[in-house]
Amino acid sequence: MATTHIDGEALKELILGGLANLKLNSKEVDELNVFPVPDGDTGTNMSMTLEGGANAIRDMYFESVSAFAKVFSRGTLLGARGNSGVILSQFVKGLSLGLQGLKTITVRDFSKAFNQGVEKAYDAVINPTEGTMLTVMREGGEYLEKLLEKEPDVSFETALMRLNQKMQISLEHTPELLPVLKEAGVIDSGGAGFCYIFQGAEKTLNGEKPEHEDIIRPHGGKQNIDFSAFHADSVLEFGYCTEFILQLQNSKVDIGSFDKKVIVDYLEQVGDSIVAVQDEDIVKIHVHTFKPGDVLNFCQQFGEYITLKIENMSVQHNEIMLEEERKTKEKIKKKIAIVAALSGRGLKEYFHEIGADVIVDGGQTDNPSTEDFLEAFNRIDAEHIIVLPCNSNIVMAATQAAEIYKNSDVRVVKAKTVAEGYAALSMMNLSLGIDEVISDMESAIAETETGLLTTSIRDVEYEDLSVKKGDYIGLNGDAVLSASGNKIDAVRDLLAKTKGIHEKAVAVVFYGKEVKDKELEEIEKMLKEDFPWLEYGFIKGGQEVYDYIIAIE
Amino acid sequence: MRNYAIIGDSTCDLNKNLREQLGVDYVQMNYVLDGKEYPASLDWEGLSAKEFYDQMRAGKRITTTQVPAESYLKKFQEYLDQDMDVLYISCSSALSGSVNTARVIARDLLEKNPEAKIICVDALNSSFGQGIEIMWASKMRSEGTPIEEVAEFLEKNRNCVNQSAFVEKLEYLRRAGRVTASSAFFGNLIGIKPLLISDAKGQNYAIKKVKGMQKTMEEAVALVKERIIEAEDQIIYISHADSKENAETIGEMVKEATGCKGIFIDYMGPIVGASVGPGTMSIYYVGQEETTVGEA
Repeated sequence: MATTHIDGEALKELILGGLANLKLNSKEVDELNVFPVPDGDTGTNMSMTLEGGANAIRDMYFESVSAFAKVFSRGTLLGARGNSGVILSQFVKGLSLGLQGLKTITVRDFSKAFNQGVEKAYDAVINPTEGTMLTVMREGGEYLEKLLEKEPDVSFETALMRLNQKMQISLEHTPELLPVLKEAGVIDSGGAGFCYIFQGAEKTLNGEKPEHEDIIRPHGGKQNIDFSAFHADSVLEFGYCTEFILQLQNSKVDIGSFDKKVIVDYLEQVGDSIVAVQDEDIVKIHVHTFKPGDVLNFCQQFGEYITLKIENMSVQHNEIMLEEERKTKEKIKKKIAIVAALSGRGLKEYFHEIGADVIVDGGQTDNPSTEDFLEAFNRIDAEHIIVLPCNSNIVMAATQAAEIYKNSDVRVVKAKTVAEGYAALSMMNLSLGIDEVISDMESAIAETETGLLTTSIRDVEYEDLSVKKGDYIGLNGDAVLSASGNKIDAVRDLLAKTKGIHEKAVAVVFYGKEVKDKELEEIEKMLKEDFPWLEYGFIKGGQEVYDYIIAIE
Repeated sequence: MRNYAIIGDSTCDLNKNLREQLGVDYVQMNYVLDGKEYPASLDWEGLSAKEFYDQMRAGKRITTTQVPAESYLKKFQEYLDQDMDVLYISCSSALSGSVNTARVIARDLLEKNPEAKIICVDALNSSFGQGIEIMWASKMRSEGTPIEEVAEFLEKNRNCVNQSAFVEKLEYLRRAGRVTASSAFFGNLIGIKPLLISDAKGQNYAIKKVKGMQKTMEEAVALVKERIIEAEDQIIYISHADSKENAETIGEMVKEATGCKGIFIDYMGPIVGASVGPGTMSIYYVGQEETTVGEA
């Protein structure tokens, strides 16, 4: 078959197919990690970004490509999280601009829009680095143009196939362009994610649409369960929302004659809000019940569970109430308000104490989206809002939100670590004007070094360090400064190798969730003995991944 | 012309030797430690300076009380009985309500002694800031200046006595609450030292934050250098809350930066010390008139 024109609905299908394929492979993309540190979930971030767009278009019908592109682009923009996600959302924005005014599109229109997407994506990055997603898409776009010169009447099938081949080659070449990739022995993760999307679209066009079913569609990407919503004295008011997919089994029932009615009849006795769907040997059930155990035992007579989800609805309900309460709360009125992105309860509380007005939930492994930032801004009534992303992978989503938001003057101060965020806040003096406040923050950040301690997730050779999986490693920016089987030694070496340590005056140690008091005593002893010139203090950060985040100022 | 007494209080930080040279007296406030009240002696009767600050370092909470009305009554009466007038130069009213009590007592006494004069001047400063004003008054008295003129001079020039101070740890300031700034400014920050001036209303006002001791000392000295007037004729006064070594270092730095005539270093008395905590350092000098008014 040769497709020469694509309309809005068809384009929607291609993109949903692309998203499904990305999700199917997102774990693999996550693992394409330069650092032996459990972070940088590129696959997850890109999926969630595209999911934002998909949620906006999934249940709508589109007359034209143009109408589709507009809605999809806006959704993607709001869903953007992580640097890779923001770059992807900018690509989509450019693509969408290129499709404006078109009812259906040809390969030529697609090529033009694709290249406009590439241009936007490059614009989004201050110092575009080759050997990344940017390279893959740029070479893809250039190739499309050349292809059209040679074969002006090329079909979408052929164009997508060739584009994907070209981008795959480009992707495999990324380690040659970017030494950190080569050193880590991986290809670029963002580029890989990008390729999966277009491969999914190609498959869809050829009638092999990839399927990736989310039984629970991630709500805004994160599930923040508020454990305080259901406590020792709570009464189970609403029961459990119970959902499952049951694989009927020949060993248990005669599948040919099985009728879901037998399940529905039972469910009506023990629950409500029942939805039951049967597709040959698969039964999908949704029910609200006080006794999910009974339901599961009953249904297991007929088969086995493929997926299962049980949620206490009092918690959900309370969460909704909490959310409503939060939204209706009066806005924070200030001349200059501060928004910081953090995870870890201790860090959030501490940053709030030292002057952050609104904390956006998210950090190392769960980057907040552009929309999360917009929600935070909406809770503030201030002339100026200063955003401290506190993570390099959140800077772009924050910047994008700042550009979209119009009710206040929003400035992103590029605090790329929790330590830099702390440094900025600690030197903040709100009796000054906005420009002075920002320049104070920026100079505080410039004087701060961030030391991070974590556990290596794989063996790695880094310059003169030989790191074994499970070793403690000390990081500073892009560099691994120390590695040891002994944690205290790893922290000591990390500090000793920190740039300008002898000229530094203060060390603020944010300790993580897993750190015990006894270990803190050892760290304190080490600081006293080996770094007597440093004033130091400990803050319970409660963060994941990093046992220690140290601001060295 | 009647002779007059010049009186300060427990925050003026003038030791016995200085007070004798200047011919001045002082009224005492009190401090409370472990439920026991001690007179706030500038000569460290009771606890020594070292003991006092070590108690604070050990986490003991020390609170302070104003000058009791009775102390004013006794002290003022003592001089009236000698046919002398009284010039009282008080701790900044932004830091202590003592001066109001003094004014009430003065009014009562003047009704009974219509020929006498008792003038209460709000120094709008504390520690050696208040001390410098007392020195001015003493000098003017020795030149034969009448009491009203001295009071007038002080009210006109008190904001030219400048303070450049910093604390070692923020927690004492937070507890005592005698500094103007937002609560976030004084959050639980590590290694941050606010630079404190005595503003136009006599409040301790944090004008900026500095990180680390070395940089803080440099900034404190830079502020003096920027604002000082006629340094070569001045002795610069430094009070410290049991941080002698740093005080001597900063004294050298000030001398080098300003070329001043001399440096005088002594302990910060118990009242000021209790509200700012051990390690605090405060430099007093005559400079440009302070016009800044801090806002919380």
